[in-house]
Amino acid sequence: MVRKDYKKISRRKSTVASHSRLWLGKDHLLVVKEIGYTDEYKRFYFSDIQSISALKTRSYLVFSILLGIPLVLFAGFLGMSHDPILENITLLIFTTLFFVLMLVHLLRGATCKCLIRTSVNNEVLSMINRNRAFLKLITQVHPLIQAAQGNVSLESIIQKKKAEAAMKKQQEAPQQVPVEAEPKPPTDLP
Amino acid sequence: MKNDFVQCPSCKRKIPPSFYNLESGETFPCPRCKRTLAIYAYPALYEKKEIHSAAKTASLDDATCYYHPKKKAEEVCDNCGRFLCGLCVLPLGKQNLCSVCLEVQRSKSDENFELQPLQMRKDKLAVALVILPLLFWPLTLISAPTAIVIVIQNWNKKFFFARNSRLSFSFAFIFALLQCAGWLIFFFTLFNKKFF
Repeated sequence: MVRKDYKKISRRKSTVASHSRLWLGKDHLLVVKEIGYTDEYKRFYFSDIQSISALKTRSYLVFSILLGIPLVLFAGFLGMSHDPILENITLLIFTTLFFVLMLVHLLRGATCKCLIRTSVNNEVLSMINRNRAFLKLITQVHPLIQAAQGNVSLESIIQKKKAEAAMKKQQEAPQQVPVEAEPKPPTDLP
Repeated sequence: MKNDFVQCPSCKRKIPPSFYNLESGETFPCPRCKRTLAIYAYPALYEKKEIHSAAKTASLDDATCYYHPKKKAEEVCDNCGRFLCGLCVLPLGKQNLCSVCLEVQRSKSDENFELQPLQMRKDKLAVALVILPLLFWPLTLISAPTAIVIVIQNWNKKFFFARNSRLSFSFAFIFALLQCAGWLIFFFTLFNKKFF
């Protein structure tokens, strides 16, 4: 079974119609997207990955507000209510539900959008949507990619490219040959 | 050098290389939109890959492409060993294949996961066929036998990312058999009432 050759490196991200998860293979990252009864596979070979970037998003704040408002409201109603036990229990259930959701959201940490770039595409890794997940991905994958592409520093590559470009420019520039001064015609002729 | 930089995912501004590969967990604000970013770039960003946009014409001394006799051979197919021109070579991971070999490998794709862009999960389909029609139970008259056929046809098939396809198939098979048995009992009692 192929599954044994891979290691899970992200949680399962679910949407209404699909689930996706990131797996770490021997020489590539694999995104498995389950849409209905079909599994879709996308492979990112370590030797082809150009960059992995993360952008901090505002979802953390938005969800904190969206969960915080009902939590405060239900907790407030619960505190103020002097009505029968049934109503109190209902309010308590809702307060606990929102409290647990809020707690989980806060504990999972800040949100981000992760992108992986190769020479042919720029893919958003939707399952890497928390900073902690991104850091986990980087700590696992960064050394593997560097090993696959040769442990060369980016600065040395940039300097080499600049030097090459300068050399090319010099070679292309027209060579100026010093022109010898023409002998002046004698002016003191009779 | 045109695309040798990483853009900010938000404002698409070019991010200078001094911001790449900061220490683990360190972030920086984008110079234009001020959104917090972290970028890890690799040497592949600066590599120029050869794009075989057009095959070269062969001269008299050159080996020629198997499929295009007038074109110069640039690669060899790793599977069949045929000479290929720039147009015919299909790089797949570390391999270079010709279109025929790629097609042959895809057709016997059960063994080669690397060539699979997607796979139909018949184990999931069989389970769905025995559970979902229960919402509108007369449908089970068709769906249960269909599930049995799917299970029998695909019992030995490998599903790459299935945890345990045999377990799903067994569940679907037993459940479908029960549904069929239910229908048989139903028709049997109906038949007995009518004629006896």
